[in-house]
Amino acid sequence: MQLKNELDLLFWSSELLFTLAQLRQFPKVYWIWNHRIWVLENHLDSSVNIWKEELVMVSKLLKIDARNFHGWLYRRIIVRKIEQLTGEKKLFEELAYTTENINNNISNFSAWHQRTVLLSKIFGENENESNAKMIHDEFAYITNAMFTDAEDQSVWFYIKWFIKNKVVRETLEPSEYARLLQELHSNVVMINQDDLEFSGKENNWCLKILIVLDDVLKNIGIETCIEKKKCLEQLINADPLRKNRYLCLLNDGQ
Amino acid sequence: MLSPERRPSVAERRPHFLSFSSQNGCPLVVPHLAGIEDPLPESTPDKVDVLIVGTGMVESVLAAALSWQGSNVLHIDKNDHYGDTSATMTVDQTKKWVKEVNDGKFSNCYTNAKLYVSAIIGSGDRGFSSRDFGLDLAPKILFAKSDLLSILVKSRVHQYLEFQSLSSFHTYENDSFEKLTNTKQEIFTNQNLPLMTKRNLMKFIKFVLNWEEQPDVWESYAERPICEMLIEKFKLERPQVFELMFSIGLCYNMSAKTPEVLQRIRRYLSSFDVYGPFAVLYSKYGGPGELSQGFCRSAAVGGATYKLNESLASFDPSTKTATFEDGSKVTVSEKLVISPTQAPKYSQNIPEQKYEIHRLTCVVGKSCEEWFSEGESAAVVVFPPGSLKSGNQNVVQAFILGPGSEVCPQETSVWYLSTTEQGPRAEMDLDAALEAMETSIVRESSSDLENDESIVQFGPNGETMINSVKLGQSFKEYIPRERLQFLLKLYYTQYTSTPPFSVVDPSFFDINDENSKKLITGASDNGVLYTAMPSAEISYDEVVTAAKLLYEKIVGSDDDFFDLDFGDDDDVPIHNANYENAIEDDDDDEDNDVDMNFDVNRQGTTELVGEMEI
Amino acid sequence: MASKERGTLLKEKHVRYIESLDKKQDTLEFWLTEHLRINGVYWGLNALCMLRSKDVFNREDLIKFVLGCYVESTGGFAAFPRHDAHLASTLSGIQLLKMYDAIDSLSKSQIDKCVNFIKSNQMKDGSFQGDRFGEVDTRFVYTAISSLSILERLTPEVVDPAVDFILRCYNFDGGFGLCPGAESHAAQVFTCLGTLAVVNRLQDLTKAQVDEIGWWLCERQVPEGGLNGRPSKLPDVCYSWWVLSSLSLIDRLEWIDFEKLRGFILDCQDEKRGGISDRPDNEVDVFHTVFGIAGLSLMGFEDLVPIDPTYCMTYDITNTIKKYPYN
Repeated sequence: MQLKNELDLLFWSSELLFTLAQLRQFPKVYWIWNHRIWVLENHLDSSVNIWKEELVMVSKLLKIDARNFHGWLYRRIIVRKIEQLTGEKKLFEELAYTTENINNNISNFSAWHQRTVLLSKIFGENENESNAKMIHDEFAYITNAMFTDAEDQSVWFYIKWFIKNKVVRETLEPSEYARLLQELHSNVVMINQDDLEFSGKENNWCLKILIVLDDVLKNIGIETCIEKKKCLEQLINADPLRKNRYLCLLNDGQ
Repeated sequence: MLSPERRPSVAERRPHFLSFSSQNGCPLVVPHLAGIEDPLPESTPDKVDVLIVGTGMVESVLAAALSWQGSNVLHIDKNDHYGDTSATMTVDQTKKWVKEVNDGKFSNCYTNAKLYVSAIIGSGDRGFSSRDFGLDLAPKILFAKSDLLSILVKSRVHQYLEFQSLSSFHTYENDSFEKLTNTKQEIFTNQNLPLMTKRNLMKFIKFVLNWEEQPDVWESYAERPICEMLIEKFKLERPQVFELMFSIGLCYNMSAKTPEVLQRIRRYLSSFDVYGPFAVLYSKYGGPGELSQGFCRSAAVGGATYKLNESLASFDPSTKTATFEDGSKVTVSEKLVISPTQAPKYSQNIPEQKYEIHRLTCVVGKSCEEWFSEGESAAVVVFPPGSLKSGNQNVVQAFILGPGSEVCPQETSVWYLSTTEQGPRAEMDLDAALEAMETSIVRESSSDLENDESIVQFGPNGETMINSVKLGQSFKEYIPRERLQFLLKLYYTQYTSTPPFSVVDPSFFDINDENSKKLITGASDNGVLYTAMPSAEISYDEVVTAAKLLYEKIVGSDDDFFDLDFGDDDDVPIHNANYENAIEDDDDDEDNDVDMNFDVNRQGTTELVGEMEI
Repeated sequence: MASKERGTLLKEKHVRYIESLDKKQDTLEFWLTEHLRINGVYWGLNALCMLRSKDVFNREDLIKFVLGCYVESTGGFAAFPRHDAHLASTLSGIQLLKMYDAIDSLSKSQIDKCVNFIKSNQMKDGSFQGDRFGEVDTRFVYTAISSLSILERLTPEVVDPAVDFILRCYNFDGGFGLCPGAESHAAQVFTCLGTLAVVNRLQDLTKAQVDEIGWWLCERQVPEGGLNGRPSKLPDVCYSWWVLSSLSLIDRLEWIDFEKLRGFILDCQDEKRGGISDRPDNEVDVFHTVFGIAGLSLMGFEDLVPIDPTYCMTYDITNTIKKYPYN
């Protein structure tokens, strides 16, 4: 862009101000986000500072709407740029950011999603001194979430991913992994029992996860006392919207 | 006319507000009030629809409601200041008031006032003067979701007031003050709660938010104390039960019945997140004193006439003529409303005020900011039954205001303690609570909390897991290095006709109906409506109920109670319309005031796909 | 709440509603939506096809309009004459011509140019940008692949990298995002599965993955019967298409409750003006109208012309497309 050299700092700053105003009104329009990237890329200030400021801005917009996936996507782009410019990986800071968001709202699926992306990177690139400790800490975090809100599907989807994740399975000693799964099993049963006692109804997500657990445990050769068939039959009654899926799974089992 | 000693009024502090809600950027001018910014009227009208005597909270809300409805209102007060039972007073005004109490001027409303004032106030030594302090006779907190708040917004009276959030609630248990953990976020991040407890708490919170629709859960407990349901059905433990009942529910004792308490708990929880992460607000520069004044200003704009230093001498129900101490008269065509504190001599129909509220107000020489959340300058502390050395059977509630609330100078704070305990035990309980608070604040302000690992911990991902101010250790191990300095201590007993746990009963106002059998023949105050003294309730909850009942008695129905439409600027702009600052951090703590026009729920949940926008 | 009148599909009312859209040229709304016009026309015509009322629009007028949107300089179609060409409007333009069996209204060189326009927007990683301004999204992969398929001009050089990219958008929860790493969203699930279906590569997904996708999709149904686009969001009629067509492509259509969804869609009708809105009692628009009807068609209700989930056009039209691979 030949224009670039002719446009002064004031131009760039005012472009950012203008698009920010637009973004606050229309936070889901791709073009505005895109234009900002263009402005940042071509800004006279080529240091990392404008990108760091941008990160602050994105955090603010995500505070207003923590499920805006444009915001999350944009954040990933900004962080990648900062990593490039500084040469430092930001994986742990970003993980802490998702923790902050989840602490603020357990139902924030976007934050849980981002967590899977980051953890996969952290595990994969061996960024962590001890994957095993990280796994145990994460498991404690998930357990906390499960007890605080056993109705939230975000937590259960995440648990499902976590226990089936290849790195989790392979990092832990087989006995450790089995113990982790069994601890999850007893917690899920506890929650389910509690629901049954309180309201007379079982917790559908507990049942769904027990079914997954049954498969996972069987895959590593552990006998379970989970009665998959019973869980499915219970779900057919308790979650009739999706009964055909449960019937399908029942048939698969045969 | 002598200019009375008083604190600067809102109009004098900020004559022009740049209101967020005025579209053309026109500054809002605070209307002047007779006896404050304007002189008192020389004379008053000959004939009015309603005469109201006493400018307390209920009376002022009523005056505003009636004025806007079109009634002709004369509103007087025998004092030289506004507020009556809800007044915010300087130290000298307090001294004067105490003398009046002990002279028997409010015999069935207040007794037993004891005041100690340190020589430091007024001595010019540390620079404290009487007017530096604004002490509430009946301190109150405002729930974010409440009828009074709705009316404040509707009537625009909130524009004459400044509110701050109050998120710091503490429960006293085992010699320590536990900060309230009641939101999902706090429960989730609290490292000290066992997992099953978290689950049980969350279950209860979800239930209580619409408890009426789940009778199967609570109906069998309807006539029983709520702690039974909390323990049996929800498996909660003592600390959580006490927090829920006494800090969140603000109940007075263990016998509180289930439906009432559920209502009170829900009141707190549903107020959360209306304006931000807090349930309660408080008014700066004074509580009910400022609010009642605000409503008087509104009433004046609506056409009401105000006069202070005016006492009602007598009333003739047959001619409907009221006579004042200075001899002037007025004909009251509709109704006469009187505060029990200002009833003329020989009144015979004043309702019985048989419930005592014991209060202790202190000004201490510490700012107590350790107890406040960031950006705030107030806190609520609750002492559940049995938690004090005195073995209290009833709760002691404490409301603390720091210098940021503008009712006291830097490095001081005001402590309001109260209890519904009746009789001599009450003062013992108040003293025990005071002692506990005293010991705590002295220790807190001198210990180094940052390095104390029992108080602040970090979770696996580096985040702070506890933010409660917890003392933990028993006081036995602690030797205070200094004593707390008291600048002022005021004890008094207030009487009310409202039983604890209730708001005023409609039948309360039937006593004086023309047809009522309770009327005393020939009494000069037959047909007069007496208002109720403030109850023990720490929130403003009773005010609108009482005002509405009175309104209905006068007007016939309460359908048009504050049925206002100020027409224009109802579109509120986004808070922080100042985009230039959007990139910088919002670290300016100066403006922590809650903007009531701020609409928190702007978050959209719909998404479009086909229109290039998701 | 379902009112008695809304218990059935008000076909006549919807036909009239769609018909009226063309006539509203004096409204501001009409002009403001220029940037979507060609898409809107496709949505309208598609709905009319399912309602067996294709002739309500004038064939010649419509073809003329579409050709007017063809941008000679680039070869793509724009949303409206004199606007810029974009992949999304290109697909709509091609679909409209196909629906009238009028692809041959374009000359061979025009078609070649169009194919080049589409291919020129493919990125190195196999994804597609919407146009030269660079927005990348699996939606545009779908529009590109589907366009090339209708024109019967798919090649392995285009298809293989695109499939690669799509598979990298598969997420931990069984959904797909708009690019690798992006959060799952029902619309993206459709565009990803649709792309794979168009090029006959659904078998690249393992059974385990397909089961996970099905699970994530069926959890989109909320207790009231409607479908949402991602967890904890409100239901919206357009997801009756995105979610249902996805389920249909992986042979798990019955994993959601038909009756309840039907009830929700019918509740979103405007019994006075016709048309369907995103949620009961909201403003209607042609976008939600076509997708509500498409959802009902997929479920086999209301005697509608069956719609092909791969192409979002009726089977009588898509059956005439030569399917990839072309041997």
